[in-house]
Amino acid sequence: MSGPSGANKGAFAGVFTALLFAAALVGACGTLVESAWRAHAPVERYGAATAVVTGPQSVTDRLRRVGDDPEKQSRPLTERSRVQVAAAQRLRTVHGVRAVVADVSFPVLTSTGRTMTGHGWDSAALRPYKLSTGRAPQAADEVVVSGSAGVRPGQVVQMQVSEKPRPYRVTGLVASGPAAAFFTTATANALYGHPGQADALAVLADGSVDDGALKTALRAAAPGLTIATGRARGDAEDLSVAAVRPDILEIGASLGGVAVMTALVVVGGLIALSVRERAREFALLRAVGATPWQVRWQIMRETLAVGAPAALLGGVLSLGVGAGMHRAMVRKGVLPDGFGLSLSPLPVLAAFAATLLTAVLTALIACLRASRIRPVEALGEAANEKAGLPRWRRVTGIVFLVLGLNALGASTATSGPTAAAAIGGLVMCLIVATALLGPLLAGLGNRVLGRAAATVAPVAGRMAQQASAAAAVRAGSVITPVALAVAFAGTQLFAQPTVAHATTQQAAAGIRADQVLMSAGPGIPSGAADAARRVPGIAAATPVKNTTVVMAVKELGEKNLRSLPARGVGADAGAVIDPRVRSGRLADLRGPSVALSRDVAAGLKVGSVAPMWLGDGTRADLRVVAVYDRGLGFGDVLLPHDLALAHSSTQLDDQVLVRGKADLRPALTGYAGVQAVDRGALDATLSQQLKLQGFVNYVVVVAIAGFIVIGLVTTLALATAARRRELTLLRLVGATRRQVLRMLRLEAVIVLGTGIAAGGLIAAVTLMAFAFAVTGLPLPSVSLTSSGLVLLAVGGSGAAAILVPARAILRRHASPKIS
Amino acid sequence: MTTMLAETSAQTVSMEAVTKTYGDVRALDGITWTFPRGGFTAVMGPSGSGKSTFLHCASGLDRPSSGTVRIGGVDIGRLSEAKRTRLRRERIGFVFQSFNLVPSMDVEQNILLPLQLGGMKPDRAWLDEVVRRVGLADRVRHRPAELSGGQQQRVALARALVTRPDVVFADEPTGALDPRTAREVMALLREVVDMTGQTLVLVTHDPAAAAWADSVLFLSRGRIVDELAAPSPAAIANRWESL
Repeated sequence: MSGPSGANKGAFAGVFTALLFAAALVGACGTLVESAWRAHAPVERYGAATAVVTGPQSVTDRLRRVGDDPEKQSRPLTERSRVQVAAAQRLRTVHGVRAVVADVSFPVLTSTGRTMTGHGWDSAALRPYKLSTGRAPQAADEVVVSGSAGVRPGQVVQMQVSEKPRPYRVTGLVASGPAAAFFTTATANALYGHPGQADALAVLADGSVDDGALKTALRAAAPGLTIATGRARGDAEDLSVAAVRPDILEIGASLGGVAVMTALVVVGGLIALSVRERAREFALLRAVGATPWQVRWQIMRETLAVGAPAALLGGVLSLGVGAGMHRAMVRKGVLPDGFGLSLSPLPVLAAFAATLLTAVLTALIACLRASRIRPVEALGEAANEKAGLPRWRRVTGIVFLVLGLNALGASTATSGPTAAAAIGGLVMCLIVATALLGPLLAGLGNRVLGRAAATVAPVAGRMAQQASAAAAVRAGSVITPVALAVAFAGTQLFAQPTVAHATTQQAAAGIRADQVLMSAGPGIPSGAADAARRVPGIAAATPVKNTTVVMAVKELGEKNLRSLPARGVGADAGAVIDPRVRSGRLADLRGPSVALSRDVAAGLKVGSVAPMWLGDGTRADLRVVAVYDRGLGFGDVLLPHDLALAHSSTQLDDQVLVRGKADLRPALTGYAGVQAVDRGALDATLSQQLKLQGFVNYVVVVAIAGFIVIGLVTTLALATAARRRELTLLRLVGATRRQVLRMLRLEAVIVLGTGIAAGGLIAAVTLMAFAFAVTGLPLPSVSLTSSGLVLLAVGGSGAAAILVPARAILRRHASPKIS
Repeated sequence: MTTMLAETSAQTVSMEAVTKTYGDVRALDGITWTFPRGGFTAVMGPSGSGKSTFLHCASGLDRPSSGTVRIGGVDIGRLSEAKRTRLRRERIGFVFQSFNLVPSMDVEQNILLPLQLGGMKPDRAWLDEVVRRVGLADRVRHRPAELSGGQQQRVALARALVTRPDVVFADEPTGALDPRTAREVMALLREVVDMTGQTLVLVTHDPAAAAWADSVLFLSRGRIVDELAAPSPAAIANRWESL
């Protein structure tokens, strides 16, 4: 059979564009997922080491599932899990091992404001770092530094590690590699502060055994430890890439899923429209002997013929889009610098397959009903649009509506991650329900808005009302993408600012500090808080250590392993922060204890024991001493300061919160890079972090909403062009061009208005539920400018897509003709 | 007589006590009829007489509510939609009033459509014969939009004939044509019946068109109320008035 032609060109152009976009998005997400899958931090310092032995780099647990086998979940660690140096003895006995170096790392801040990492001199062999001039450190106060530090051998430099800066004499320089400072091994171990422990045991091979066999032998010699070889060694150096990997995998997969969902809706609408448009042609085919499946195959073949090049082209383009997204995310700081980009044909193939499958599936769904067209209809005069909605559609739509309301209930009854998860389901349910019940919605919108239009403009308004009522099914397939665009953009744009707003509000309301100590370098030495506390007029000075704990959190009835932001706070925390404690006392936060926000506390009460994994992966059963409200502003978990510090990579604090207005400068003179600022600066840092999180959101909104608008425009343009006969007939029976255009404008108001109202309602319900879950009040932070822009983009492009082809049909000086 | 009837019904269409109801409405009310082989029968009746339903049931486009319709001896009441379609494809040809052709296909593609749908190889000699007979030999590469209304109906007739069907059903084939073109199309139909012995059923409300037939059936309220053999336009118009 011949391919599409004539009137169908519009529909196929629309399908082509939509599938191209879908393939590009899916492939870009695939690139992101693949990059995350393969990403390892670059191997810098361990270049010469064959294997690196570390503690476990992630926490794994088996979580019980109702009526199912337990599910294994894993979360990466954000702090180093140290190894016992004693384990090196056994590794040295393994055949093929030349040497094992117990490698320690700690941040060093020079008095010139330069940050580098400190190690023992024996770690230099791991890269290897070679002396470009001078000699290795031999005395406790000698150091070798990178040439980039800008110092000369013989010079004395002040270096701050976990206490006040101390002088070290530079004995040599190393030329290349990341900025580092090498002390004698004894000095390094003392500065490191964990006697008998190390970050990693790096294995140098003698070359007599191949790497695979060596790895097996090492594994046997170091049970329970992680052995990294090849590119995985990078993750032993730098935890940041491994830490973001699961999140990027999740974001990529869910964005890809949304793209496929959107393609289903957009392409489905276009194909349904074009099938309806060609109803008579299909009825004719049926009459002259085409079976229903022959008609369906034809529609699917045609879709495939358009979809295959679109999917292929989109797939190829997706590599560029994916690379662009990756670059933007690295530049914006969403991804760490070491997070590499992996380009391979795999995402292209995946995008191609997923897009084609989506296209054929949608075509099948769209033509299931249409090709049931009874051949007798070919004999009829005109193809009337069926008014009734099939039963299955009605029933499924109502089921999704009920599911949505159920999710709404769940989200308002709970809070925190549970609620957020429920809200994701809520949007999806409501959108699917809208798609299924579109024609009913169109009828409802027509009754309300149509009546208004008829009141405003008696002639054109009534005509518009009748036209949009007669074509309820057609109007339905237009309303769905409009509602989808508005609902999606609305929820996506305003959910994150709602969290951000609540976070800054909670922090602003709960921080009682007058001043804050911040560091220009890697952190604040622990002595600084004590020094500040001793200043007369200072009531309290609480060190704050940011870290992460892993805990099984109950979400929608199921426990999931989550990485939760945690803070270690000093004993006098109650004087500087008010996390709004509901029960228990913050002052009891001593020893193996914890305070939890109500969002994650779930069934845990004061006095019960909360099992969790601390930053370095140490399993701990902590006594709950308080439950508080302001989880966003202060993190979901508060730990005693010494506990948090003991299980972190570094001994440095992130902030010191100070109560009292006395001048702290004299007390801090000894410390490098530490300065007291007023608390406004703290809020600024906080909002900067939140802005970064928002960036991914904007990318998603632009990509998906742009996609929907493309679909919307093609659908509308097609729907209008399909009405050539009707519009020309109106002109023939005596309607002026102005009247017809006016009618179309009012119709656009009715149809777009219904879609925008439906989408706005979905967004409003979802956002209010979300805001209630996050802040306890159903007040989302909605920016009027952004809402205006969304409405303008959707409404404006929609109106243009209706009126531009209509103007072309109703040319000013041509007399109307029905072809 | 019995043997002859059996032979006839085996190759054309026979209806036995056929009724078709839509809700409470009886569109067909006990129709029993066998179309004679090689005959040209016109079916007439006012709007609402059940004319269209008669056509749908007789041609296998629709299933009767009760009674039997046999096409080429096969009872269509027992067949699935797909099987009915296949039977129709092989045994029945259609000419409709308008929108007869697929706009994106040229004349030859339109004519060959039923064969293509059935996965059959076209018989070139027969195709040329059909095309020549309907007078479109020089138009096979044209698209429907480039043809006049009369020419489009000729293409439709060629398509109906190309499968060598048992019966061709023509539903108001001249309804959208001017009297002169209509006459030409009717003359062509008559010629096809006379030259090839094609069985033809014409549904119409135009006495002038019906007068080309061997006999005219009159339908009223779902029943056959009369049959006129070798009628003149005047006789038909007369009978029509009294319905």
